[in-house]
Amino acid sequence: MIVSDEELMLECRKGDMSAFELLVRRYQDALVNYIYYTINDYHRAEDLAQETFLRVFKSASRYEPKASFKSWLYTIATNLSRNEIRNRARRNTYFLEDMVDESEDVYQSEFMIDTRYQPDLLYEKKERQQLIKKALKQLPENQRLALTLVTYQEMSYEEIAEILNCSIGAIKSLIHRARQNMKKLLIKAGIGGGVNAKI
Amino acid sequence: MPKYKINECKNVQTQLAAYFDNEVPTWKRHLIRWHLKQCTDCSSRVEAIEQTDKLLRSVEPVKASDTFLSTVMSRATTMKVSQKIHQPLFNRLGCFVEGLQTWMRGNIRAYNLVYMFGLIFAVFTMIGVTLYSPRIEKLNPFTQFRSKSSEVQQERLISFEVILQEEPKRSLKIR
Ligand SMILES: [Zn+2]
Repeated sequence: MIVSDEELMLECRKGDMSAFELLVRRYQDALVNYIYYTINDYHRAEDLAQETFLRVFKSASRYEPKASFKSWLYTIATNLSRNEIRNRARRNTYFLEDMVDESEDVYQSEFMIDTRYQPDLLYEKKERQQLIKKALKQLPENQRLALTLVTYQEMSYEEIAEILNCSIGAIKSLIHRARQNMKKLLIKAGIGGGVNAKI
Repeated sequence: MPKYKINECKNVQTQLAAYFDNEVPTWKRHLIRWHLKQCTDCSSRVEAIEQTDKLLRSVEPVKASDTFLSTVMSRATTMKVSQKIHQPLFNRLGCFVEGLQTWMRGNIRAYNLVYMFGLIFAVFTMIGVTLYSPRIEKLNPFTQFRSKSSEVQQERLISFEVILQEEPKRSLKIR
């Protein structure tokens, strides 16, 4: 039987460190991935994911299982990511297009195994992934957050509405616009123009 | 294209993202599906959404590094220890009160009726004591002393009045 996040959090409130460890294990990859897509810096994404978990741990004593743990976790992560984006904008270091992705080589290892005998294919795939990431980065902040949550975290509109603190109707139109813009950006980048360009 | 058809397409097109994410009610889903069978424009838009989604999903996800878990756990443990050491008395008291509150809340949830009756009884008793306190005074043995002392005070006042009235008479006699 799988223990729910909320039950683990209640155990954590009592001071059970193993319950907290299980929660970290459950969400570490998804959370790092989510923050990475929103701020586009792997090392900073890891820092912020750690900070998210520590904030959860810090407020464990006051935890009440009213809302879902997952939404709460992602709300903290979203707030931290937003702060990071704003700080970078203030420091003027957040030029999305110029950003060098150092983690690229390390984290493409899985598909490198698949395509190691086809260097052209590997290059093509890698370049296409870069273009897609670049297009995603160019979306407005809220659209990028909503699209990341629905695509990579497979969340429902209700959960996303809770995390981004707006209505389900607003999320519907946000994702609609995000996909429209994404399509335009992909066409501009030379990919995704196979089907009718309109969305 | 007739105007009603354009309106229908507009309506459907705003719902297509939600339709794709399975976020529309079943009845609407059937209507949209029925429309898509007849409308090439709208169905090509759904294909475009599918293609964009496929491209987005083709990006390899990143993973947390191998040291991630151990770093978080050691930082959490340090935090726990330092919290215990530096916790001032006031905070500890706060924690105790908080604990008591949650315990009470849990109990109230569990024995709802009993607690509600107890609470109502306590409130009524307090109101009764405040409003009808003179009646209770009768039962108090010290009230007798209190009334005696007030009688003495009244006597004193009377004697004071008498003295004031008599004084002018004396002065007349002297003259
Ligand atoms: Zn149509």
